[in-house]
Amino acid sequence: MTCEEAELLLAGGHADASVEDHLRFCANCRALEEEMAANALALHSLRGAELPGLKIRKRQPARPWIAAAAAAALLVLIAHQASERRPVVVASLHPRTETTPASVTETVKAFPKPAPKIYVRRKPKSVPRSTPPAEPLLVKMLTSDPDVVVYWVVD
Amino acid sequence: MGAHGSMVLRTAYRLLGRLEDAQDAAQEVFLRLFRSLDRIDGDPKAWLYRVTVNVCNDHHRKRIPAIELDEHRADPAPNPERALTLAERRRLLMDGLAILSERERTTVVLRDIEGLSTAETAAILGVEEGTVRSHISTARVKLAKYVRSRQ
Repeated sequence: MTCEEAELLLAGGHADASVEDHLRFCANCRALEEEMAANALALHSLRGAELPGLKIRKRQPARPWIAAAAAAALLVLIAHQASERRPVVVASLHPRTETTPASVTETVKAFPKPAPKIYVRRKPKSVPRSTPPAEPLLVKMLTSDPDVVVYWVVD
Repeated sequence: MGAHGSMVLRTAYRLLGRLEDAQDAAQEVFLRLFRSLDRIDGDPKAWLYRVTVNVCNDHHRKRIPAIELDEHRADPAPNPERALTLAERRRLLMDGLAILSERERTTVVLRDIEGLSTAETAAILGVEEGTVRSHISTARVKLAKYVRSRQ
C-alpha cells in the first residue's frame, strides 16, 4: 500500500488492517493521521463558534431621551391648550340674588358685566407645502448580479 | 429567520473567507429567498445551503484572486516541536480552505464544519454520495498537509 492510498483511506475513515500495517512502518502517515484527527476536532469546534463582527445588523433604537423629551413637550402643550379653553367662572353668570348681601350686589353692579366668552373654533393653520404631492420615490439598487435589481418604493 | 441568517452568513464566510463578501453573498441569498418564497415548502435550510453555495461560488469566480495576509495571519516559522493551540489550528484551517478546489472547500464546509451528513451534502451539491466522500477525503489530506507545513 502506498502512502497516498493510506492517506485517502484514513481521511475517509476507512482504515482497515492493511492501513494499520502501513501505519506501523510509516511515521509520516502516522503524523498525518494525528493531524487529521486534530483538524477534525478544530473544524467541529468551528460549527457553533461566533464569528467576531459577523452578526446580522440590527437597527439601533433612536436615542431614548429624544422620545422622552418629545413626549414631555407634547404633554405640556396639551395641558396649556386645555387650560386656555377652560371656561372662567364669573360671578355675574351665576347670580344668587336671593342670598347675596346688598353691599356685594352693589359692588358687582359697579363693575361692568363681562361679556360672555365666545369660543370660536379656529381654523387649522394650513401649512404651505414646499412641494406639491409627488409620486412615490423610487430607489433603484444595483447588486453584484447584473440580472438582479432591487427597487424600493418610498411613499 | 435569525438562525437561518446566522447560518447563511457563517457558511458564506467559511466559503469566501472575507466578511464583506460574506455579507454581500448573504444579502443575495435572502433576496433570492424572498423571490422564491412561494416555491419553498417546509424548512428552507437545504434550499438556503444550496443557494448560499451557488452564490459563493459565483462570488469566487468573479473575485480577482488575491491572497490577503494580514499581520496576524503571517506564517510562523516552521517548528515541528511546537504544538498548535486550537485557535491557531482553526486559523490555519480557515486559511487552508483557500487552497482547496471549489468543490472540496464546499464539501468541507458543509460536511465537517456545518455537520451535514454525506447524503445531505450530496443533495445540496447535486452530486453522488461517492463524489462527496472522494472530495472530503482529498480535502482532509490537503488540509492536514497544509497545517503540517505551517507549523
